[in-house]
Amino acid sequence: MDRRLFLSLGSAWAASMMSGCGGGGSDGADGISDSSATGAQRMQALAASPVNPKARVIVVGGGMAGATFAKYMRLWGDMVEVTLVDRSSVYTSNIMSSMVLTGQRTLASLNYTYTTLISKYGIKTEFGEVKAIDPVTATVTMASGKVLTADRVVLAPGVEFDPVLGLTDPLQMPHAWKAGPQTTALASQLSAMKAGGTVVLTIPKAPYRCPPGPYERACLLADWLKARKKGSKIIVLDANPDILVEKDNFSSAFLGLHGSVLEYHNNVEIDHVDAATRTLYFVGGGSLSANVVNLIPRQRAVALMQATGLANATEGRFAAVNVLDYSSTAAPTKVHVLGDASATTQPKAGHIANQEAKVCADALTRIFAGGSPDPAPATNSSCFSTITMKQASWLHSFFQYDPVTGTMKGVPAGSGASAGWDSDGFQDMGIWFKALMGDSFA
Amino acid sequence: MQPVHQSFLISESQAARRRGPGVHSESLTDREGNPTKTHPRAWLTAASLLASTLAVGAAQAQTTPAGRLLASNCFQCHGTNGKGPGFEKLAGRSAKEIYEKLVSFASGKEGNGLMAKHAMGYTDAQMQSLSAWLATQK
Repeated sequence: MDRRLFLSLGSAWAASMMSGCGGGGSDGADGISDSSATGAQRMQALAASPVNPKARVIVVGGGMAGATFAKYMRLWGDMVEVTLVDRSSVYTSNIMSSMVLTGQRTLASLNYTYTTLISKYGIKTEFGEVKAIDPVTATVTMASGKVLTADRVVLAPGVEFDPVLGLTDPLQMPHAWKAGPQTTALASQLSAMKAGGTVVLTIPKAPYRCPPGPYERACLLADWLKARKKGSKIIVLDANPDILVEKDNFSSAFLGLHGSVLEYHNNVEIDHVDAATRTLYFVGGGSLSANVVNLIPRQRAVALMQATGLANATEGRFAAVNVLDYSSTAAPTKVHVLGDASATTQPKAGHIANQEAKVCADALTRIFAGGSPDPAPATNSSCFSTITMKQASWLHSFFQYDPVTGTMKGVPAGSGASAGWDSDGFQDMGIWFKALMGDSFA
Repeated sequence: MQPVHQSFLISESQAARRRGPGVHSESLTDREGNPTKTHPRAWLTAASLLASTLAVGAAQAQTTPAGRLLASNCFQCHGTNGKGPGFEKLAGRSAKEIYEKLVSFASGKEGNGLMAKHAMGYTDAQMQSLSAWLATQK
């Protein structure tokens, strides 16, 4: 296991110290409003689910993709009944959740409900566990025995994590990659760690949820350790051959800004663990023990999708889709798959999942009216990374539909990152987050 | 130095700081592979755009207004229908104002911020189409 050598550091732009800006606070959104007479009527009609719907859609999963889809299907569709299904009536945002680990945000501040989607957009909800999906009849069976049927089923259930050999209780080495009890557990372990301790963060093989996320978290925790846990260090074990995204910024931060407390090792894959001693054993030999282990396992679409044959891409991990309407290649006239569960050229991330949902809602609006999907959709992914507890960088990528390959093709001119990081970026991150959550949930 | 266009999407102070120290880009070509130094989006005239917009509009006028799906790429940061919350509101502005601002971002005149990258992702026809739709939002 060799210490990674960075051949290109880019411009190590030293950010001057600036006053901290709060990215926190309430991120509840105002939603849309329309004060005109016809607009008011339209909003009133929108607020009630249609009595005699022209089409019916079930959405499974109320995260960034599912919530956005439900909202826009009602906003754009003509008399479409939308039923959103989730096991929980509260969604906890993964975006910003690394700041719960540093005590900069509470988990409760990341909670979003479906009350506005219900009251303003007339979305029906069904909270409970899904037992089965029938992709032929577009039927969803709940664990309660209740059976839901529709013209289309839109799946946006997110990811599940591979089991790790030796880790019977996942909370002993939390991934904290789905915000909730995992996040609380990791925050507690970090808080309880004595000064001079060692934290390990493992990065799984791609594709995984939020490509810059683990690198961002490593930077944030490095900054936090310097301030709160003197003499501690963080070791990043990356199963990938290199930093996957925003390499200039993360390389610069890893070797420069955080170089005294952070070690990065590439090509390190976890084989198994000894949870009692918090020891990681690597594929090909070698091991490492630490005081706190943030183990982020490999990811795949939920088991329900494996069971129904919908996870038919990426070695059976994710669902192949037609990116003009996100229809499953396994059930193209009945099932659509959005967000992290789908296999596309786009990153698995909340901002672009929101846009995938809009493309799907627009396509179904056209399809239900007897038309065809927009033949040339464009999507974008924007995000911010906390390089310190008060400063952030940004990353943007843009995709255009490529009819030759049938994929969303990255546009090089529209893709890139900030040259460095600053407190303005941190402030913009707060504005972006509030806007994104408002567009998805309100 | 005076900005070429009225800066309404971001304030001048914000614009100044967001010009920042430059940007790393994977490539300096557009999606057709042309160098971006020559403006890449002059290949579709306004007239042909208008014709294609009208054709699409006539076919699906009731359900899918032209430019709406493209414009929805703005909503994550500028709010649903460009009405906030978020960065600067886009609703209530003319198509010309929005289009010219996007062109200015895409040309690099506004610096190397996130909006410059975003604008560089669109074709000229797409910028015109989404601007025209946003102008319907009051």
